[in-house]
Amino acid sequence: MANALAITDIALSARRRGLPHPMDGRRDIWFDVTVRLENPGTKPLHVVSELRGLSYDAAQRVLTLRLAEAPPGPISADAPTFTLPTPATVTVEPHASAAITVKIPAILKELRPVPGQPFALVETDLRAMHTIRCEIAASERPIGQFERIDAHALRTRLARWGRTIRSEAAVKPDTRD
Amino acid sequence: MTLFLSKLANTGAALVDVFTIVRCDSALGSDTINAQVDRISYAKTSSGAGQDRIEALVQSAGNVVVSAVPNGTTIPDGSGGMIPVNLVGGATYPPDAAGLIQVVYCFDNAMFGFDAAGGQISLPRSDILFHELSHAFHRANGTFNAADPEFQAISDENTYRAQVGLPLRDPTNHNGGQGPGDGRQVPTCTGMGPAGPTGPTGPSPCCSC
Repeated sequence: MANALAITDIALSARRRGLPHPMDGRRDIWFDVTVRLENPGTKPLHVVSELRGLSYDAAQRVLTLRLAEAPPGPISADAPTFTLPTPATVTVEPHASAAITVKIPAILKELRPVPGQPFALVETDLRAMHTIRCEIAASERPIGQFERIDAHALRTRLARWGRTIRSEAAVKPDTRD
Repeated sequence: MTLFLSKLANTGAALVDVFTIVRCDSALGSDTINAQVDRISYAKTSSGAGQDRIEALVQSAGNVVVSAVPNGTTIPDGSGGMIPVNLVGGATYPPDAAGLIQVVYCFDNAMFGFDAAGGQISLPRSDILFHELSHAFHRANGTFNAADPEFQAISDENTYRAQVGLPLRDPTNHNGGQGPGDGRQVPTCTGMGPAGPTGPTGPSPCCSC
C-alpha cells in the first residue's frame, strides 16, 4: 500500500553558494533538503521526486515542500499559458529505502500581480525557518505518460494519484550570507 | 506599445536573451522608462525568425513585459496558487485590465522538450523566451489559438530553432522537464555580450563553502 511509505528523515544541508553571476557578481545562496524514505511494504512504490511547490508560513516559520500535486482551484480569468510536465518519480523497492534531494533558495522570490503594472517581486528570507514540512505523493501505480491536456487538467488528475504522506522536522539553517 | 523588460526581475539576463534572439543585431536598444521597466527599441538590420519576431513585438499594439527570474522563483498559477517557475520554464499571462501582457521565464535552469522521434532535446533559455514571446505576440495581435496554444507556440519556436540550428520540437508534444536534454545550445553570435554560452547545460554551478 502506498500509505506504507514512510519519511524517516528530513535533513537540511549547510548553505551552498553559487559562483559569481557574470552580470553583477551576485552569488546565490541555497540549501539542499534531503528526504529519506522507506518502503516497508511488499510492492514497489512510485514516488514523486521533484519539488512541485513550496510555501513559507512566516508567522509559524514553517517551510512546506510539496512533492505532490495539490488539487488546483478554479481557473481564474488571468490564468497564464504554461506547460506543466508530468512529475519525475523514483521507484522505491519493497523493504528498501531511498533519498530525494531538492534544492531550495535561501531567499524565496515570488512574483505577485499588481494591476496595470509589472509583477512585483516579493522576497522572503527562508533562513528564519524553524521547521520543514514535506508532503510526498506515492502510489503502486506509475504516474502515467504525458497527456496532451492543459496544465489544470493534468494537475487535477495528478492530485488524485496515489496517496500523500506528510512529515516535518525541526531545522537550524546556516544563516551566513 | 512595445516590449519592456522588468527591472524588478533580472533585466540583464532578459536583455542578453533578447539580444541572442535577434542574433546580436546591434540595432537592438534598451532605454530606461521608469524604476520598473526598460523599453526595447528595435528596427532590424538583418533577417531571421528571431529578428522578425522581436521587431514585430516592438511594433505590436500590445504592451509586453518580460521578467527573467531565477530557479526557485514562484509565480501565480492562475488557479489560486503559486508554482515554481523552473517547473514550467516560463509562462505568459493574458492582457490585464490595462492591456499589459506579462511574460515570465526562468533564465538559469536546464530544460528539455521532445523532438518528433521522442528524443529529449534541450530548450536553451533564449528558446524558452522565444516560446513565451510567441504566446505574447499572438495575444497582442488577436491571433492567439486558445484551443491549442502550445501547438501554436512550439510551431513558432521551431522557426527560431531552425534559424540557430537546433533540432525541432514536436509541436504535438508539449511535455518536457528539468534537465539538459541533448546538451545543444544556441550558438553565440558576434558581438554578443557577455561572451559565453547562452544557456546552462545543467544546474547552476555550485560550490559549498
